[in-house]
Amino acid sequence: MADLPMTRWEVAASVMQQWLFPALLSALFIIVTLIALYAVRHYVFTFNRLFGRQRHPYLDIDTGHWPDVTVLVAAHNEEAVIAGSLIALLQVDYPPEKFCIMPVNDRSTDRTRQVIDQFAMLFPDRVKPFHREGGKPGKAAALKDATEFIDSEIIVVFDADYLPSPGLIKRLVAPFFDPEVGATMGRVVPLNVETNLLTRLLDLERSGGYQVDQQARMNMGMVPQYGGTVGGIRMRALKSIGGWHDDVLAEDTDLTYRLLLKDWKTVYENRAECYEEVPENWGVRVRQIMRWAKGHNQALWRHISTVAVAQRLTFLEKADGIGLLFVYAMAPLTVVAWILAIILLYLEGISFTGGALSVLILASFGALGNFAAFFEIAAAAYLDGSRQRIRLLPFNSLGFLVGALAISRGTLHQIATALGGPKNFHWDKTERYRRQSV
Amino acid sequence: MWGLVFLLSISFLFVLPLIPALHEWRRKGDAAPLGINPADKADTRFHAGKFRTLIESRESEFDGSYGGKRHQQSHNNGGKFQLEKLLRHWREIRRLVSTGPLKLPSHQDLDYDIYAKADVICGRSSRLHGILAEANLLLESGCTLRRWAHARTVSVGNEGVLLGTVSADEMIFLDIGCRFGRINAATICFGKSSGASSQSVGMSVNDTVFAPDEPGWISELMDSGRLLVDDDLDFSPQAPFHGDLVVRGNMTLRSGSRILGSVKCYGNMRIEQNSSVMGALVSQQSVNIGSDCEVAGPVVAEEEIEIESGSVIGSLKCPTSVTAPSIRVMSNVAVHGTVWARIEGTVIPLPIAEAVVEDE
Repeated sequence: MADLPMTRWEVAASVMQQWLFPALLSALFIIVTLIALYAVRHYVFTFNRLFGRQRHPYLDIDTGHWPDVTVLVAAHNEEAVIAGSLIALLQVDYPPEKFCIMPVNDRSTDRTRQVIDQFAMLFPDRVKPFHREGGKPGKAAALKDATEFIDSEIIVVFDADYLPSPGLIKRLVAPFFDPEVGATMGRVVPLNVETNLLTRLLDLERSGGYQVDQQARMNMGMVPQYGGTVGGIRMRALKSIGGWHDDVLAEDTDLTYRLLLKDWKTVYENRAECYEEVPENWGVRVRQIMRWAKGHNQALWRHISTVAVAQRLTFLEKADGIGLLFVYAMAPLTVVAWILAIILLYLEGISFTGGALSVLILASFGALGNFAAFFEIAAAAYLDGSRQRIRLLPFNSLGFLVGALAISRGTLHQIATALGGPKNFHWDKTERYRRQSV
Repeated sequence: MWGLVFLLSISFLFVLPLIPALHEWRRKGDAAPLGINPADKADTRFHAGKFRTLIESRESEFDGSYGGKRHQQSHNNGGKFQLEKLLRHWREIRRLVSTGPLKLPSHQDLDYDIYAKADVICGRSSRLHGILAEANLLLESGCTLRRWAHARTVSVGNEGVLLGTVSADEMIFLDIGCRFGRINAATICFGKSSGASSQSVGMSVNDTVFAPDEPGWISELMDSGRLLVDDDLDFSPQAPFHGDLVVRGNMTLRSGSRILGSVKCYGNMRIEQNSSVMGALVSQQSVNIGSDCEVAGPVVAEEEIEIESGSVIGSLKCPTSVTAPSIRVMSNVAVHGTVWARIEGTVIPLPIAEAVVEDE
């Protein structure tokens, strides 16, 4: 019997069977492999924190010839909180003749300027404000302008809602006795934890990020990240990398990599703890994480090729550096994996025992994301001595879901902008909640 | 029917881990912010200050007798007080207060804090808890301090063990064989009385600048005031070296060298005799400081520090820190500031040949 010509549907089905299905499956497999690599990374960090050798080499330096320090307090419409931050800074344990506070008032339209000027009037030797009326928006641009007026050896950067403890400055500055250290990073601890479920989930996330991630990187000689606040920078190092870049959304990540590539190390100090406010509603949180994602992806675009070919980085520095750059790219990839998994589940509905089973396994892994991150959070809560708050861990899947979607949205917006959308630099300021009289 | 049972079972399995989560969310059993310790608890002066405040706040309770009061007072008149009787009372009230000098006999095992407005002398092989002496404190040979001590000056006889932290306003002297953890004073002398007390001014971390008259190979490698070396380095500068050194291997600084900057080393660091470093020494492994060296800045090692005789770390004007898990200090060494051995610090005797020469 002569072969009958195939209908259009049969041709389409044949093409799907021969090309589309393997291509989609391969894409899914690649993404799941990447997710698995990140899972391994989380496990390595967590096991290192639980069982590995812990490095705190500068923690015990409590006496020394302390260098001159200028503390920059970045403030854009912060009238509600900046007084608290300045009061806390005026009480820190650091030689007063070597310590200067520079509130950086960046184009505020509220009473931030008046609050700062009151402090400058009361403490003229210690508070030297920098008021910025115009120029590029964004924290990096403001810091860049303020840095021009600094002649100290070290700068320490805080956001206006942060409440440093008395011993914090010494802890952040002590690592700079090491001539290889270009930046230091302290631990951020949420203050408004008990407000609602979101703040409690963010408390757990922050704990995992600092107590496990950052400290494990420090332990293993990887790339602890300078976080933009509660951190110090050596001015000599900053000058050697060309200063602040004011066209970046995440000046902290950008700085971490530029320092790394110029042989300056970033040190994480787990005991240099500082209170901060975390977002109290999901809208603010979504905008915050979208901004972080865009900034981080921008750093990925700028630094990935340089880091990949850098000769002077160790294998661990390079691997961790690349992993850290891609960390916000993983969320949209996970969303893509979910979509692929659903499509493939329907395409390969014929044999359940063959390809479908593997698709199901991949789909489950892709859909549920990376459990290792939850293990990391639980380990962090354990290391912090917290007990009952670990019970909230299942709710973190909600935070994970919102985060993944927000990051994906931010990434899509960024891609759309890069492909021809409006390129105006926009800065989403995080809302403050503290009700403090100024 | 079975479909409904299946659905309910799956729902139950899904909700099960959320039950304790819901409970914690509603009850807020552990919702306080993580505690941040504002005070430096490692600083003995912090404990001493609190203890002094406590004593002073209850000074009116001391009446010169030693019975019936919650806090006891003792006047040591030439050691003729009824010590045994007192000790029994003190053990009950867990605190000993003296308005005069206090001398304790040997082999005491006290598990309470001692306060004296004057000198305190603890007889040999005693085991002590916490001590605050407003004048001088002497722990005779073989004493063990379990918690903390603070005084104007502190002397510890040979084989003393300081498990807790010790600080002094002026000087701490540790004899040979002493073991210590964290000690802090304007001057700390180890072993035989050290005449070394450098007045040199410590440099700040960024004071150093590159000197243009350095040899060519150095200037080629210099970057931002630092000399970066990827391998081991055996360094013997003919002239004072201006700048920082970062060595990603082992490092030896030859005798008589002078570094006007800080030194960082990934491997083992050896500073040979008569050298001076005006900044910090930092090693990811060990630091060995040879005899008669001077180091102005902090000395930090992630494994071990050994300091040989005649060396001086820090200065009276610029005290500094020496910190490592294990610290071995030879006799006749002076440190100005803090010495902090996380696992154990030891005062070791001079090598025999060197000791004989010194005795002669």
